Amino acid sequence: MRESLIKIRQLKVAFGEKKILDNFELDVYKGETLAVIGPSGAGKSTIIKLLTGLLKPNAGTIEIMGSEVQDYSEEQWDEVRKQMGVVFQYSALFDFLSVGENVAFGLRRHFQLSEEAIQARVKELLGLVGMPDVAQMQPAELSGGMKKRVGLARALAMQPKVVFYDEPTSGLDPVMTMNISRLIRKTQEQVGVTSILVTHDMESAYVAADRIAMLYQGKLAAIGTVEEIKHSNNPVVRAFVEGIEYKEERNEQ
Amino acid sequence: MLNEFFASVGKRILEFCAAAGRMTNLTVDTIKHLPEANPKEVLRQMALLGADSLPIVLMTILCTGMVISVQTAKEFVRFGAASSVGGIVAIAMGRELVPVLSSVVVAGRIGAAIAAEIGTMKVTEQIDALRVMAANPVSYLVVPRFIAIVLMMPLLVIFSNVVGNIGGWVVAHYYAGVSSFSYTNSIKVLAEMYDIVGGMIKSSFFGAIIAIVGCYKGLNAPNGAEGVGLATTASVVLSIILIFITNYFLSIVLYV
Amino acid sequence: MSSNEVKVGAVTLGGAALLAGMISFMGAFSFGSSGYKLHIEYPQVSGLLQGNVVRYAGVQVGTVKKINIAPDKIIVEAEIDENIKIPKGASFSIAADGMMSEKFVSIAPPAKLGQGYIAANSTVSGTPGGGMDEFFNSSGELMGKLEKIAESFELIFGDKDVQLAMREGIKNLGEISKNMNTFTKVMADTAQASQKDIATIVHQMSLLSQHMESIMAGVDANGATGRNVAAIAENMAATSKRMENIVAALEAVAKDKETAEALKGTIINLKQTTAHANKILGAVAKAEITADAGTAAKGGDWRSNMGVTLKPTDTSYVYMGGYDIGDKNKFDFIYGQKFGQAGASLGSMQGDFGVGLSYDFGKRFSLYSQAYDFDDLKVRLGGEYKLTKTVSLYGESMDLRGDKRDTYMGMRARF
Repeated sequence: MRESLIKIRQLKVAFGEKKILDNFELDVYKGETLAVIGPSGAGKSTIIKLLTGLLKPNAGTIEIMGSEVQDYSEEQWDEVRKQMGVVFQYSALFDFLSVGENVAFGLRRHFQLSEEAIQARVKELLGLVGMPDVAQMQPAELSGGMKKRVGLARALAMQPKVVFYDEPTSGLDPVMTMNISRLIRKTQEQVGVTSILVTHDMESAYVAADRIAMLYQGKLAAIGTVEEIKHSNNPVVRAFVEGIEYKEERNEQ
Repeated sequence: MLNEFFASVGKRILEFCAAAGRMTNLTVDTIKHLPEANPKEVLRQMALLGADSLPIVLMTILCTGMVISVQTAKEFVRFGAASSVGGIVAIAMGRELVPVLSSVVVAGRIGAAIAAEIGTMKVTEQIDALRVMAANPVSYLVVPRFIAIVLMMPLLVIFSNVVGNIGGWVVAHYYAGVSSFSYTNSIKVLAEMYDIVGGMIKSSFFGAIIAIVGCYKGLNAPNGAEGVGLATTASVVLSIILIFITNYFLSIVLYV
Repeated sequence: MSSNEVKVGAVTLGGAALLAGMISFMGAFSFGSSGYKLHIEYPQVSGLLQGNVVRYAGVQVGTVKKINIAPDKIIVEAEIDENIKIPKGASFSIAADGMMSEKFVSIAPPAKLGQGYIAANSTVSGTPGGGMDEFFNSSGELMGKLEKIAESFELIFGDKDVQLAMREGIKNLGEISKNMNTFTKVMADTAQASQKDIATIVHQMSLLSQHMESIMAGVDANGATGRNVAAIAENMAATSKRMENIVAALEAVAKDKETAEALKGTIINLKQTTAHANKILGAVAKAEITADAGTAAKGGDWRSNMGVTLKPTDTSYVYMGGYDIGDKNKFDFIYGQKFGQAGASLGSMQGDFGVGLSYDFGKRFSLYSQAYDFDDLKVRLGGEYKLTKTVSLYGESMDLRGDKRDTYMGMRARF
């Protein structure tokens, strides 16, 4: 059995009457890339919010790197978060800072580094995501795909143990989608972090992930390697793989 | 029918209390995180929120000073109290008009800007981004704005008092024929330094209200671009209401 | 150095500079205070405030720094410009320019200099507001009004109703003057009588002045008087000096010892009277003030007079006024006392010492007679008929004894 970096047990989340997650359980192994897929509204993004402390569960336990964090205070969470990176759905770059400063944000805040060291690290990270020359630009000057790459560079800046990707390919054209997916894969191989990828894009999940978890109506419908899911007989997975996602995509737009 | 009505009234009251509670929490949080203020960011906000507001605040107060003088000078001259005009204008300006009107202008300009900026950050997940990067949004966003406004408001008030009284003097002198000496002397005799210091103290409180309300409305903006607009309007309206209410109590505490 | 730093720095420095300017302007503290302190004691300060100004003869020379309350008085601590020296004997009153304007400490220079200057940190006693200052202000106003009313006399005479009333009045006066003729003959005879009769008059004068003295002593004379009273008293002193001359001249006339003694008594009493005049004038501030102005015509010769009557009590009065006959000005300063319908008066008449008697016939008509200038005794006789409360007609015969028996007819107005 592989070592679990994250363990979720009997988790319940509800907004008022509406149940988002019900008795949800999930293990994320160290060093793997897990893609969580499912139709919109299934609670995919909620999982990232739970694992980064932005949302507190109504019941159940979350264990991250050996500690139970579900009742952590904001200050305790900050310690956990220093070992995490998040790539947001709309990048969420700080638009009052330049691209370089966005990447350097965590470094400046949590490390006592010299200016040269910070600049070197920013350059290295931007090189890693394939955009070495944008440090002086403002986020507003970048395209959606470029923002995603900068977001990834920012997420990796503090050398996290876990990186979360929230819909990294939404709103991108097919070419850019594949580019980003390959970048996630490449980064994972180069840096060796544990990644959790929330998406409804099967193609992207196939390229980027080691394992895929299928979420349906607040519950885990199926989990397995990319090959297992591709050939799964589970009706929910089959329906999703065979085209319901296109319907969902239309609804979103 | 009646049930629904009471249910909705009850819900509103609960929501109102919850909002008041959240705002109080935000205030407490802000004060708790004051020592974490980043001097550079505070300076940036001071320039943005304070210095850049100077022209519009001065413009407003200049006109106010002139208007007060227009309304008082002729009447006072008629009653043979020409030598009181300067003092009356200075006291009215120093104690009430300058702090309240400057704050209303700043609430309109800065409170709205804060709510819009933070509201935009909220709907584009930048607030979440801050949190997951272990940067407390209160200490990173609210505290510098809070400090900047609380420090800059009294400064604006000093400038405003000078400009307002100059406006008052221009009108009293050229329109009502009050002599310059009589005007300045009555300020000296009737007004006290405390009239202006009290106004400065008031304006700091109003600045705090503007910062907290603007940040609160921004941080709690409903999602979507529409949400930012709603947050902006709500912050201006709420700030102005709170400024007027607070002004009443501050006037009692400071001057009665 | 970012532009933000420059911006905030400029605003902060500007604000700090303005604040410092404001503080020094408002006098919360002054840079390099220069001046010395004076403590002025008042029974009350009628609303004087800290920060009010101090004026010396109308020029601002300092400010009120502090107002301390002692059990029996108020001590005003004033800071005076170090270059200004205030002579000893100056009066410190509290005044204001207008009803709603600021009070200030008004320092009036003394009448006589040369007593040195008030030292720093010394304590002086001040005169509270009101009193003589107020009286002289208001009487000054009154004089102004008189002038206006004298101008409007033409209007009064132009009014048809007034003309009608005057015609009636003059008709009456015609009758009165008939009677007066008889009266003046008697008076003239009396005046032409022997020196013994003069002695009797002088004796009566003595009694009268004694009576006056007791009246004056009875007048409540609290309240301060001020410099102006001193001036009046000085005039009084001059009058009494002139009287001394008169009496000395009279002594030659009055050969018998009784008359001489009576005269001496008069002089002594008069001196006391002068002393009491001071006190009376103190009470004047509270008195009712009326004034009259009249013009009288004798042939084509116009005479106008104007005066102020002060009433310290209900039955006594002091009349101050002037006559203008041709190009000569003459002054009256008369003290009078009423005894029911009858009245007696004493003082300077037409610039000379004299005594007088009056009698009211009913409410509207009164007759009066005055004897003055004992060197060359003159008697004047007059009658007055009140048309209204403020306007009256009068006729006056000057110098009944002499050969210039001029009779004036005129009109008098009271305010």
